[in-house]
Amino acid sequence: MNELITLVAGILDMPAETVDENTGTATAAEWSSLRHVQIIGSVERAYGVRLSAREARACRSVGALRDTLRTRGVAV
Amino acid sequence: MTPLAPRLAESLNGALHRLFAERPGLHLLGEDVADPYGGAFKVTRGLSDRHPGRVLSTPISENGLAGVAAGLALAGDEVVAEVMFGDFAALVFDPVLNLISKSVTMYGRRLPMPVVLRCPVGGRRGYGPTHSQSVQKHFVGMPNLALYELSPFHDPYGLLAHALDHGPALLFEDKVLYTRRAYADGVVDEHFRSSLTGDAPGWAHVTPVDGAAPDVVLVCPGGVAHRALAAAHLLRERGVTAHLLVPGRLYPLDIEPVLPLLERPALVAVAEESTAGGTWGSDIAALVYERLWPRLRAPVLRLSSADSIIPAARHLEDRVLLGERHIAEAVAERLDMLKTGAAVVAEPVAAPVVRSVAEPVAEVAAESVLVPLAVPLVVPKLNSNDTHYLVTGWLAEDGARVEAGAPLVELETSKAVEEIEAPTAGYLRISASAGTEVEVGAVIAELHELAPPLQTAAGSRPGSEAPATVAAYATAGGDEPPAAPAQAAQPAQACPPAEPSPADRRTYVLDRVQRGTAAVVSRAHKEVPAAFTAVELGVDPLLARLRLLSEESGAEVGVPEAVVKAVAAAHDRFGHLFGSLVDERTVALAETPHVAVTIDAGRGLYTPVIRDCASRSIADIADDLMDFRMKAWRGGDFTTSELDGGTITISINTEADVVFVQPIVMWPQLCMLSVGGLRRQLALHDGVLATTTVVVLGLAYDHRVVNGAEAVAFLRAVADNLREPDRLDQLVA
Repeated sequence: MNELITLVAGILDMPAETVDENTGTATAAEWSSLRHVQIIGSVERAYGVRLSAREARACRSVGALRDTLRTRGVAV
Repeated sequence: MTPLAPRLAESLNGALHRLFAERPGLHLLGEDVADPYGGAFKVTRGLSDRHPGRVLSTPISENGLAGVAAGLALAGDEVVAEVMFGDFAALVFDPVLNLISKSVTMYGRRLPMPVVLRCPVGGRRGYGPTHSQSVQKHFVGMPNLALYELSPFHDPYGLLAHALDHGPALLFEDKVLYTRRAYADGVVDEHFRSSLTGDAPGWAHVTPVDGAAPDVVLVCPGGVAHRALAAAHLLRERGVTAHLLVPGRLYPLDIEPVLPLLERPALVAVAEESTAGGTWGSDIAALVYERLWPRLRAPVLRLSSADSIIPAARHLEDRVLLGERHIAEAVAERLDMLKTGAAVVAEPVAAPVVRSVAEPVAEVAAESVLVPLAVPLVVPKLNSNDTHYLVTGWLAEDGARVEAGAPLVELETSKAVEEIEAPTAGYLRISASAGTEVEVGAVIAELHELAPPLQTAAGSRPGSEAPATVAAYATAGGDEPPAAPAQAAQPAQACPPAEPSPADRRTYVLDRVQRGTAAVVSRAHKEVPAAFTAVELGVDPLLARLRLLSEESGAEVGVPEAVVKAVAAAHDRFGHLFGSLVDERTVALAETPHVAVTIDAGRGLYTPVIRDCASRSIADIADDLMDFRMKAWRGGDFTTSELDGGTITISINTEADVVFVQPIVMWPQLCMLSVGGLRRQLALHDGVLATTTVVVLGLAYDHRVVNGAEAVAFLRAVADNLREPDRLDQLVA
C-alpha cells in the first residue's frame, strides 16, 4: 500500500508521511508538470505498464494514480 | 560615397509606381498583389494604397486574370498582370496564344494590346519542381508576342515601358535577381564593366575593364547573367577572356547590333537555365550559324540545365540547374579541344549530369585493378535545418552482404536519429566511420556487386571519399573534394574521439541529444539578430479556470497548454511572427500555427511540434503535450514528423523561482516565446494590497523581421487571451 506513496514522495521530495491519497496537482505545489511526468514514468517502470496520454493526465493525485493502476490489473 | 543601387525588386516596384503615375489607364492584376501583402515578392507593394481601384487582387485563376487583362486591353486600358510563379504561365498559355497575341492582328486592323504578364521564373531558391522552372522557351515564336527578361544591366522601368508600348509581352523575372542590386553606371566589379548597345531595350555588353578581345562570348538572358559573370571570373583565372551579352528583349530577337561582337571570339556560348530543346538559345545558335557561318571559328556551345525536374533540396537543385562552374568547365573544355585540334562534332547540348542515388555510378578509380560496379550510399537531406549529420553507428559490418531495404546506418540530425536503408543489395564498403560528421550529398559507403577486398581503416581505396576527405570538403566549403590521393587515403584519425579516453578524465563528451541542441542553438546564435522583451500578467483567473476544467474533465490541463492555445489564437493578427525568412527580405508565412514546445524531462531537450493548435481543443493539445513529455522522459522516442514543421516555439520553464527566461530563436523561425514560473506577489487591486499569482511571458524575436512594438503587441495579445474572461472561455472551449 505504501509503496506507491513512497515512490511519489521521493519524486516530490516530500516526507512520505505528508503524502496521502489526496496529494496531487491541486494540493501540492511540488507536483509540477515536470514532476508529473517523472511520477508517471517511474510508475510505468515500477509496475510494468504503459499509460496513454489521457490516462497520464487523469492521474492528478495519488488516489487517481492508484485507481488507474488498478484498472490495469496492478495490485497497489 | 556612392549610394548602393536599389535591389531589383525595389527597382521593379519603383518602375510600377512611376508607370502608374504616368499612365492613368494602367491597371494591375494578380493574386495577392494588393496591400498590405503587395505580391509574393513584394514587387507590387504600395500600389493599391496609392491607386485604389486600379490594382485588383484576383482569384487564384491565372487563366481568368489573363482573360480579364485581354478584355481591359481591348477596351483601351493598359494592364500589367502578375503570374505569381512563372510555372503557372502554363495556365495563361491559352489566353496568351489564342486571345492576347492574336487580337493584335485578327480583327482586320491592328489593335494595340498593352498587356504585360510578369512571370517570376527560375530556381536556386529551393522551391521545388513546380515553382522553379524557366518557361521562356514555351513562348518563343508566337506572332505579336514579345518576350523580355529582367537583368541587372537593364532599367526595369525601361523594360516595362517598352513592353507596354510594344506588347503584348511577357516579362520574365528570375527570382534570384529580386534581392540583387542593379549594376549602375556601367560598373560591374573591379574586373568587368558593362555598356548597352543597340536600340532600346538593347543588349548589355560586359567586357573586361582593359577592353581585352574575347576568347569566348557568353550570350545569356538576364537570369543567368550573374552565373555567366562568375564563370567569366573563373575563366579569367585560367587566362581565358570572356565577354557577356545580355539582351533586354528575348523575342523578337534583334541580333544585328551584336553580330560584329560574335565574329571575333574563338567560341560563342549560349547559357540558359531552362532544359535543352526548343530554346531561345537554340534560336540564337541558329541565327549565328545563318549570319556568321563563313567567319565562325567553332560550333556554338549551348549550355542548359539537366534533363530533370528541379528538386526542392538545395544541394540536389545545384546539381540539376546550370551553374557558373558548369559554364566555365564547359567553355574551358571546348577551348582546349579547339587549341589541340580535337574534332568538335555536332555537339549535344552540354548540361549538368544528374545522378540518382539509386543509379549505379560507373566511376572507375585511378587504379590498375578493375573496380566492379558500385552503388554509392549518399547522405540524404533529412530535415530543413541541417547541412551535416553525425554517423552514430553502422548497422551492418564493413564487407557484409546486405539486402535492399536493410537498415544500414544511423545518422543523427539536430533533432532525431534516422535510419538509412540500403538502396540495393550488395557488399557494403563503408567510407565514413561512426563518429564522423558528414555533409548532405556525401558518399558514406558503397554497395558493390562483388565482394571487394577489405582494406585497412576507413580510408578505403584511393580516390574514394574517406571521412577525412569528407570533413575537409565540408570545412573548406569548396565544390570539389581534395584531389590528392595521399590526402584522401588518410584515415579517420582526424575525427574526434566519440568518448573521452581513460587517460583524460577531465573531459566531458556531450551526448547525442545535447550535440543536436548545440548545433541548433549555435546556428541560431550565429544567424539571428535577436532581441527580447517580456510582459508580466496575473494568472489567478486562468488558474481557477484551468482547475475547474481539470476537475470537470478528470484530466490535468495546465498553464503550458493554455499558453500554446493563446499563442495559436494570436496567429490571425500576427501571422508574420509565425513565418520564416526565405531570404533577407522575404518571409514565408505559415497558413496554420504549428507550435513547438521545449520539453526537458531530465533526459535531453526536445522541441516537438503540436499541430493545428488554433483549431483544436485545449484538451487535445494537453494530450499531445503529455504524450511528448512521456516520450522525452523515455529518452526521446520521437519521429521526425513530430519534431519538424514548427512555426513558432514556446520555451516552458514553469518551475518555481524562475522569474523569466530569455530563449534563443530556433532558426529559421522568427520568434520564441518563453513562460516563466508562477510567482506569488503582493499587488494593489483597487487600492488594496492583495496577493496575486503572476507569470512572465518573454519573447525573443528576429529583429530583421519583427520590431519591438510588434513584439510587445504580440505578447499583450497572448496575455489578453490568458486573462480576459471572454477570451478565457474561448481558450478552454
